[in-house]
Amino acid sequence: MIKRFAGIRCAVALGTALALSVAGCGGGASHDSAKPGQPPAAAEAVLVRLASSDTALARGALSAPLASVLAGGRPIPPGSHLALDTSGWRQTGRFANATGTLALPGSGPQRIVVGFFDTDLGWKVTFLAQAT
Amino acid sequence: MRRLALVALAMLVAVGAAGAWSARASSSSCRTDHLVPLMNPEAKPGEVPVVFIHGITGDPSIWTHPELNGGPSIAHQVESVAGTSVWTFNYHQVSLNWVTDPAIGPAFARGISCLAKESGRRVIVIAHSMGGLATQYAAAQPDPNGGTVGSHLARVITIGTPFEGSKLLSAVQGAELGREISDPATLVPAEALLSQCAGESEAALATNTASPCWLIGILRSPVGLDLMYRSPAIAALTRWNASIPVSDITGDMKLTVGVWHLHHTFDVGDFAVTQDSATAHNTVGSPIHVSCQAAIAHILDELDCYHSHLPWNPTVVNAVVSEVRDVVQQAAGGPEVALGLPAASGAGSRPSEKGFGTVRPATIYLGGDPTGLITGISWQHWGAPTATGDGTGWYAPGIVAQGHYAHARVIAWHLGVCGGKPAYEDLEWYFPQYNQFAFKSGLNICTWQQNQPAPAPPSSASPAASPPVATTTCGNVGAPPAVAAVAAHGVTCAEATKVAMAVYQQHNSHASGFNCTTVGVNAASGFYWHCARNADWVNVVPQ
Repeated sequence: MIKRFAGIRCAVALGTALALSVAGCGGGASHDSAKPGQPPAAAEAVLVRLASSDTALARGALSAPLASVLAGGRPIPPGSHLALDTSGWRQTGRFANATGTLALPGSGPQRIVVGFFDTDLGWKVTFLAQAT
Repeated sequence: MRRLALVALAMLVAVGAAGAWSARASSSSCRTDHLVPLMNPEAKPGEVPVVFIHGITGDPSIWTHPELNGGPSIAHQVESVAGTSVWTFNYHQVSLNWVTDPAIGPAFARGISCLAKESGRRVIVIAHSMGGLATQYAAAQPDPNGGTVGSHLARVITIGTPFEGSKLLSAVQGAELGREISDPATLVPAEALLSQCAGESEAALATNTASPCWLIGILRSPVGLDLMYRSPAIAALTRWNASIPVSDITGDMKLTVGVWHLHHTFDVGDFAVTQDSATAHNTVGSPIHVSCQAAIAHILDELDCYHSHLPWNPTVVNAVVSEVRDVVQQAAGGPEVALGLPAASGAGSRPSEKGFGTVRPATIYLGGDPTGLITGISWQHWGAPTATGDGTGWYAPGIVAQGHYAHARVIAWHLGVCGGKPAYEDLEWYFPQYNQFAFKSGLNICTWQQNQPAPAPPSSASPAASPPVATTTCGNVGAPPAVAAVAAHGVTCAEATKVAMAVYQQHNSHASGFNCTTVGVNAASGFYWHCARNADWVNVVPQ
């Protein structure tokens, strides 16, 4: 649980020194907060698991609190394809969001935004929704 | 986009207008660097001062921002209520400090005292977010003329005030204090927000209150820890005096978070402050809940019930203006309602009595033995046709010396005129725990003479009956000294009796699906109740 909020703890600790970048504080991939960058491979891998036909594997891609409140079943219809944009990754500490596409079986790709959280167990999804 | 354009245009107009107003000089001695007239050139004696106080990282511009639909700002609309002088308390420079900062709570307390003294009126405070906590602190401060500053408050209207702190802030700061947060209802929105706001610039996090990402910026401020849910700093504030009329307004956002079509909806209040926290100190009627729906992916859009947008929500503005108008009209009616008159003014002789002839007396004493004394009374609905107070009295059903202190409920009603001033003319109290009336005046506390027996329950209090449905007399319920006669209309006597037992013995205002109210007091026998459910009703009359 401590690591869960490590990014924020770091941000608070550095709060008075506004010149410091909180993005560079949490470890892992570090990006300029103003410019979206390339998503880390680990985050792309978690999306592959999210689209898995194995329900347990798919739900394991979700953050633990989110998985605990969602109804049972696969988060994404089987046969779907998820992909992140090559330059749509924005990260602050251990939290990030990214843009991408979701192609459901039999339909064209739709724009999405995905929330990520770098937990003790690696990147997990905090939300996935249609982009505006 | 059209909506945004309207808002932008109205903002330009508002800013220009506010600038013109603020350029006018004020001759008020209450004016300081922090407390300034928001619009009026100056306050006039007799006008009710209305003071807007902003929240953390805010400033007075929040009050001159147009409504979300482009309508006039809340400040403009309040200013249009005749008989008001509109002020703002600005603590922007120190708003990242806790409310005990000398330039926040203490300075605000001085401002309220000054405005009340100068105008001769009690003050209305309209507070957003932490401004409500600053008001809570100020209300408990001693007044230079005795008592507390809270006695100068005619009404406090709070908008999204975190009386109990912010669960969201607690979630994101939990690790800092080594405190685990295990409630998914708090964690899921917090994680989603932190993800959604990732990549936002430091400047945006710190200053753009219109974006929920601003909440993350608060974490870096000294006051961030103080605003955590049920923080020690909040617990250390003196509790509200229950006699201060407080109206709470809260956001009621249903936030959807999930993955594609698999999602969950959370009640997140206004996102920054949950409803339980924002309505924790409501004492006037029911709190106002302003609803909206949101999805986490769109949380950065303009949301009607988001914390920082509440003062611009037309529903909120209408509610605030209506309440200000009511309070001002009440004030314009002359002096405040008093509790009867001192006995020396009437025909009776009770030389040691206390509380009569005063407004919201904390102590009422009829003279004589301790059964005539009620202390520590906090009143609700003072000024309404019936005022209710809770205090402590001496419960002695038999020998006085063998009694003990117990919670007493005091009822003042029969609003009339005593000595040329508005006053309650009747008074009773009872002990809810023992379901026993301790004092039924039967005495007019204005004239100090015996009342005429009160009439039977008014049939006009009953809803219009359908002709084929007869009213049934169901006999009595209860046992002495709590016996009530029950009359039923449109329901069986069995159901009516069940309702009567609930309302009469447990003072349950929502008995068995019926909405119950007291409709009068019989001087000889006590309260009678009317419970209604659509066209069905039950009357409960003590014998």
